[in-house]
Amino acid sequence: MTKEKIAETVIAVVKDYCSNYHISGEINLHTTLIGENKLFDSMGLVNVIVDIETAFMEQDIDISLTSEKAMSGRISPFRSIESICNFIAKQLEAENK
Amino acid sequence: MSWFSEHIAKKGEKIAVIYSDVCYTYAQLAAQIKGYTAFIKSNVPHGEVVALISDYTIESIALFFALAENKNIIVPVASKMKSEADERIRAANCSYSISIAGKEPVILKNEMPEGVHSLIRDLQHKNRSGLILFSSGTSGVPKAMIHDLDNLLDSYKDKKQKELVFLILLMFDHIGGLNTLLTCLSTGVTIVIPGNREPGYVCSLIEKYHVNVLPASPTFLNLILISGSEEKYDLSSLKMITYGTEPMPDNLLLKLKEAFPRVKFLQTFGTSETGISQISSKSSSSNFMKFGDSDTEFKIVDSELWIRSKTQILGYLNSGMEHFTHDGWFRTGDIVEESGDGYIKIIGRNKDIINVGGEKVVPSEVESMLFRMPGVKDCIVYGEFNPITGQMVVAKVLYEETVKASELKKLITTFCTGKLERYKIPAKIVVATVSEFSERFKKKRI
Repeated sequence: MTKEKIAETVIAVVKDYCSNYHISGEINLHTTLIGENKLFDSMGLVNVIVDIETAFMEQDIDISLTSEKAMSGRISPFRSIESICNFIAKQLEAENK
Repeated sequence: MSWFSEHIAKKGEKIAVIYSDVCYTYAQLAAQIKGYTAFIKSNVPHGEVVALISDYTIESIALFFALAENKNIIVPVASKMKSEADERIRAANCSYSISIAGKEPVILKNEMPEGVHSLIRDLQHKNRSGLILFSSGTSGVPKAMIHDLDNLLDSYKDKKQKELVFLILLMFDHIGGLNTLLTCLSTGVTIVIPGNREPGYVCSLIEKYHVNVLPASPTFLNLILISGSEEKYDLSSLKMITYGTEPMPDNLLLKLKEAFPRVKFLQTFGTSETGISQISSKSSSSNFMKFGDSDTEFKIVDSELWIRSKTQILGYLNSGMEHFTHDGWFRTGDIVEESGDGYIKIIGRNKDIINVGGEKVVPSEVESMLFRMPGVKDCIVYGEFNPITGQMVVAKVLYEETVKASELKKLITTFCTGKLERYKIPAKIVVATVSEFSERFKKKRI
């Protein structure tokens, strides 16, 4: 799966979630999810992460954003949309090796 | 002969057990017990630990009493999985195993390591029969607990005799199943034993034998509603449904009351450690209950139910007594809510509580809400790891239509919003294709 395709799926999920919860804000690769100018609170982030996992699962792509590993990095993969996409790309690369 | 065996003999021509379309009278059961007692006495030394490998059959019931007569320590093993059965035989250090081939008991001598647990030695010295039951073993290894069986049997003495027909679903190796068996035989009622536990088949037996009392788990009762069996069969003979082994979701109870308007619903309560206690439900449509048992004391400590009973276990063979206080109170792990007028309601298990970023979620509350949602046929709610809030609420849902997890989540979120606090609304939905139950119709908590 290409990086573009990954980003497309992730952004679609985030947009869908925001429109359901009437959250406004620009959504692109550089949008931050937590920290300053965050889009979500903690429950929002929990839900979006699961929804992203589900969206990939429904395309028959198995990734995990809720494993212990997601917490082990120095920088959280959940900081921005881009960091989530990179985290997913790395998992898929590792699988293909 | 013990008072219990004598009592069985006295009931004479009354039907005791109906199994595989054959009726056995109390007199036949008494004769069977007598025959087996002689057989056991000449083949198994008294006081030995003996595994009784069988589900309910007339033979296994008779063997149970014969082993008690011979003052053996009985280990009922009803598991169909050989590995589980072997594990239990090992954990209880059974020197003999008895199974039933055709209609004949087969005795096997086991090679077991030397050494007898002090609790077993005590029973042997006092010439008392024993019973070893296992906890469901959520932590992996099942805990073997030992009862003084003579003491347990004595708690069924002088019961009022009844003219009823019971159907037994719970297995031989479960305190609830064993309690139903001993209650039935001590009150002289007729027991129907189903060949399997498929809801439609069970309902057909209720119709055929005019069963009056059905002890069952909430999950099994829900399975009857899902299959629509209550509409296919004439279940008008049913007077009472007793339920236990897991919390009953409020809304399932209401659905059941609607499907069986003339049936009285009664909650039962017990633990393998303390035995079954007599309780009364506030009403047929209420989950609130009250202990009315002179053999059981209870108190509530930090929302947890503590019990002390005359029929509690002597100890564990393979575990410490950390769930018991030094003065004999058993900490059940059940979290309860008090109504203020002496009634209590079990809302969940200590270990089942989901901690979402410090907020506590009781699975049964979420399950109850999901049961109110149109299209939801069954559900189970549990916690799963999540890197943001530590845990999150997950619901495995059996839905009436084929649906994608992402779509079902949207439906569920919309339904629950405004009814449940946000952290309680399932963050993850797993679509179940078949209702997933464990062998005992007790919900699997993951």
